[in-house]
Amino acid sequence: MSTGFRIVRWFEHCAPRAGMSLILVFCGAAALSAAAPPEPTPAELAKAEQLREDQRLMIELARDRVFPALVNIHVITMNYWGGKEHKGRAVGSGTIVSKEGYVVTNQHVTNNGKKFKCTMADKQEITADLVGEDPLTDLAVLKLNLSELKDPGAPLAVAHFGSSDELEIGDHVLAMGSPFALSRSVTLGIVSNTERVFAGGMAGDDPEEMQLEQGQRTGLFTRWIQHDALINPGNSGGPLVNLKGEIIGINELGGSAMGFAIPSNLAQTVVAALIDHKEVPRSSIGISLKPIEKTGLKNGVLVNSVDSDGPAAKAGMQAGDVILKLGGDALTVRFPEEVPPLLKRIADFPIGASVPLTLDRNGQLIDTQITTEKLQKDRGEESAFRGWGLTALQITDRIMREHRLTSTAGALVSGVRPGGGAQLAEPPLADGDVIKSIDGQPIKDLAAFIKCYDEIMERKPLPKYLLIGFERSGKDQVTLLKPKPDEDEDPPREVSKAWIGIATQPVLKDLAEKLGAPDTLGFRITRVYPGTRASESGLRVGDIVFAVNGDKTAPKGMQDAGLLTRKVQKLDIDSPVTLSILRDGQKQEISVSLERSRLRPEEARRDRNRDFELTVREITFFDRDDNRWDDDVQGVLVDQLEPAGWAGLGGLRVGDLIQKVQGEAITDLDSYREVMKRLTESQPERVVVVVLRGARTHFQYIEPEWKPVVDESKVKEGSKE
Amino acid sequence: MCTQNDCSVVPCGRRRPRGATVQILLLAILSVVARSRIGVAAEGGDVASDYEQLATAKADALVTVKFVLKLKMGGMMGGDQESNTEITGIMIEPKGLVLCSNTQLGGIPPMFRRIASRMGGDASATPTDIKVLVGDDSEGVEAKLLARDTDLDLAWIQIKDPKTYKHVDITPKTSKPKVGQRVLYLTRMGKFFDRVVTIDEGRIGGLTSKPRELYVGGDSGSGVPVFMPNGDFLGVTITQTPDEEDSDEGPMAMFGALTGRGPGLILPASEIAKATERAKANPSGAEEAGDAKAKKGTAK
Repeated sequence: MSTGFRIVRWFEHCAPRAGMSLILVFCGAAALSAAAPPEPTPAELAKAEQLREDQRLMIELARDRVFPALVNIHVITMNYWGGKEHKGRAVGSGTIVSKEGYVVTNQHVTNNGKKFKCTMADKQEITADLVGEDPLTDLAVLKLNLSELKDPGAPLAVAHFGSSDELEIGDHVLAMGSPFALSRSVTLGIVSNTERVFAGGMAGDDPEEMQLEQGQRTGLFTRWIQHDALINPGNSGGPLVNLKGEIIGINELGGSAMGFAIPSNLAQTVVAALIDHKEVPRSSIGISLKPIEKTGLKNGVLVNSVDSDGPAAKAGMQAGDVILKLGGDALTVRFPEEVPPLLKRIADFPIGASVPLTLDRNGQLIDTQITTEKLQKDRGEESAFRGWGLTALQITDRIMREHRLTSTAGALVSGVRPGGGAQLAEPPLADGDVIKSIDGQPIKDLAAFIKCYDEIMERKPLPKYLLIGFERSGKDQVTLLKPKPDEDEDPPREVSKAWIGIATQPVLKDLAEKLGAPDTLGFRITRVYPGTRASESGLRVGDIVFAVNGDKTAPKGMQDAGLLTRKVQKLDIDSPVTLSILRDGQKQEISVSLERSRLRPEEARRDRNRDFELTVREITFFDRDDNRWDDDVQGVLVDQLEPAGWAGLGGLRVGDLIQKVQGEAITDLDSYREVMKRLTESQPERVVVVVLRGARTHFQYIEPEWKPVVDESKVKEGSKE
Repeated sequence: MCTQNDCSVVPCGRRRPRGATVQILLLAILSVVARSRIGVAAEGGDVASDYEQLATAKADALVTVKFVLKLKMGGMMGGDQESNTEITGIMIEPKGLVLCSNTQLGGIPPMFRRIASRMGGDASATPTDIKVLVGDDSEGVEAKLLARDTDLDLAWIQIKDPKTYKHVDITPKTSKPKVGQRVLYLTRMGKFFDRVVTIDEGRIGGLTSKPRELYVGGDSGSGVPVFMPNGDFLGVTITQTPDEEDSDEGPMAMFGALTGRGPGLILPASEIAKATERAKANPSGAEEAGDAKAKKGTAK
């Protein structure tokens, strides 16, 4: 039984009886404490005051060496699920570490990022470009676009790395960053552990199994600095600072008053590699390791598994072997905390180096040489293929092994959109399928797939069907996929019916009595729509309609509020109708010519613009009436904004009436389409949109991303037949 | 002609059914017959004969409408979805005009739309890639949504390349049925069951004139054609929810709206015929002219 469990049980058992006495004990202690406060001596007071001052000064000095270099990072992300792409927003923290404007942060902050903005210490907001990412350590480097600063020539505040090896348990540290995306803050704590690893917990059995993103290992080389300086979501990527004002860690994980930072000595080498090479070149020998703690062995490290086509396999290594020497040095890995340094040591061998090893295989010592290979990314690039209703991944070595594929050729289907071409194909494509060919053309990687897709989707007309060759669970299959442009259709419209241009409310028994006509149940006119035939007929607000063509129209309750409308709808458009009304206590008849029912907002034609991620619709009669817009008010109404879309980020809101785009007047849906088409061709950096919001006009500035979603050159990296 | 007890035998004097489809059809008919025996005994008629005649005469006009429903749910409800859907429709004109349920075709009753809006959502559904599958056809012919009438829960689909199709004559031929009248429902099973035609039986349980003239039948879902035992078209089952202005406020009204609705409502053939004429005269898009006209005299 755990201690925690015992305590809980003790309270359950004793609380009813002991509760009152416990409360009394605490009250008594409080009274005693209040009665006799200790009196400090003047010397003690002076010493305490000096300590306070010294501590404040120490923290201030440390703070001021890093705080000005702290940035808030806002990221627009592109994520993939359900067979399509989804934009999103992420926030994190970072630190400027060079005068050129390089910023260190976490890779899980920049992950899937398409656009980056950094808020500086003086609240200036400038864009940044991604320099490189290292998912294995969860580190990334951005470069600020310094030319966007108000004073680009002014010296940039830069923070510096200290040595995390000097850190000891109990040392004071400051965590800096933007918790919950709020502006910059500092918290103080102490170091709780200097070599934390996550084996057996959220990371699975082995330190090598930890993942922050599906299919991508992280933390392989990391022994985190655990501390209790409060961090929260938004602090990710922010610095952990010692009291000398040096960065000694990069905050990565946190929760329940525990924070975990990547040690600066690891971060510093990764940052340097990313700046120099845009990646961290590392070696791999294609094995996973297990500490010998539970094996009964005294020396070495257990080979947990061997990649079938990796360097270790080529050198004859087998799972179950025990490595006794690596590069000529004896080694022993007894505990999980000792795994990351060994993995780092292997990774640090030059790529292609020949490394001597001594193995113990069932008591027999074997000396061998192993030639290292470049350590590839676990997870490949991903892209959406809208017209075919699927998303696909670049196949990496790791994906190849996990899906038990024979090569990295093809593109792995990572999602299928319900109702899209891939799902409607016969047989349907599914997650995990590997697309190998399209109409006989081999697909060697994701870049080839993108190129083939683009070529096909530019054909006019589109081919009726495409023959897709794909692999599923080792079986070579073919299917027919029907490509179609990703276009939205206008919503279906209602059959037109007869209509009178009035709005009404039912007059029930009590209301009729109050209005002085207890026998006249009917419908009181609450509005006569201007410009309709009803407005020309002499009908007035306040008239009570109690019969249509002599047929009484008496509501029995609020459930009959639509009775008059339904009665009119049964008649013919353009036919005359006689309404019996009560006006000022007098009954009279008014003839009205029925007209066609008007288009409702939900039936209005729409236009979805993918570059701006915005859907607009035409103005209907009822929009004009609701907003009291006359015919001079023109434009298109914002109907939908995609989450984190450029239009939304530019400040547009649902319900805005777009009246001008880049200086050109928008009169209706067609003129809007024309203007947007021209913008797509000219691709300006900034688009000015004038909207009518309520009674006021607003100028909104949209900065759309005109670049393609996937950088093909990036996709090609790491592809291997 | 076969009797009720030997219905597993192919009916005498009729076209010999072909293939598995017809075998399943017979099995399905048999299962319906078995369920309806009490009714048969009370009526004293030749139920199997009625079923067989109806199935033979109308099966070809009972078509499958296949489409992709694009559902947009903005605001708090979040996200767009698409689904591949099949419903049953009735060919009502030889040139390829198909009648079906608007709600089954993705039509959202105004009340639900308003409730969604109050919950912070903006729901809309558009059927796309519509195809009509006639008989055993699994490929389908392309079609478009000609018109929809949300109030009546009807939608009309027009096959784009019209040929001559077998159809159900929807001209009203029968007077208002009496309460207790025996009626037959014609449906198709799903694709897993080869879309076989089945017949179910019910009785008119009541008549109502609100919100419009409706016959109250069995609980059979929407868009199902209903026939008299002699094969005359009586109407189509529809879903009716309170009008927008009739409903109570708040999200829970969605559930309240369905109480007191009564089981299966049949829209009479006379209403369907009138609505069809209106739909043909004013197909989708024709309203634009009306709206343009309306635009000239809008509110100041």
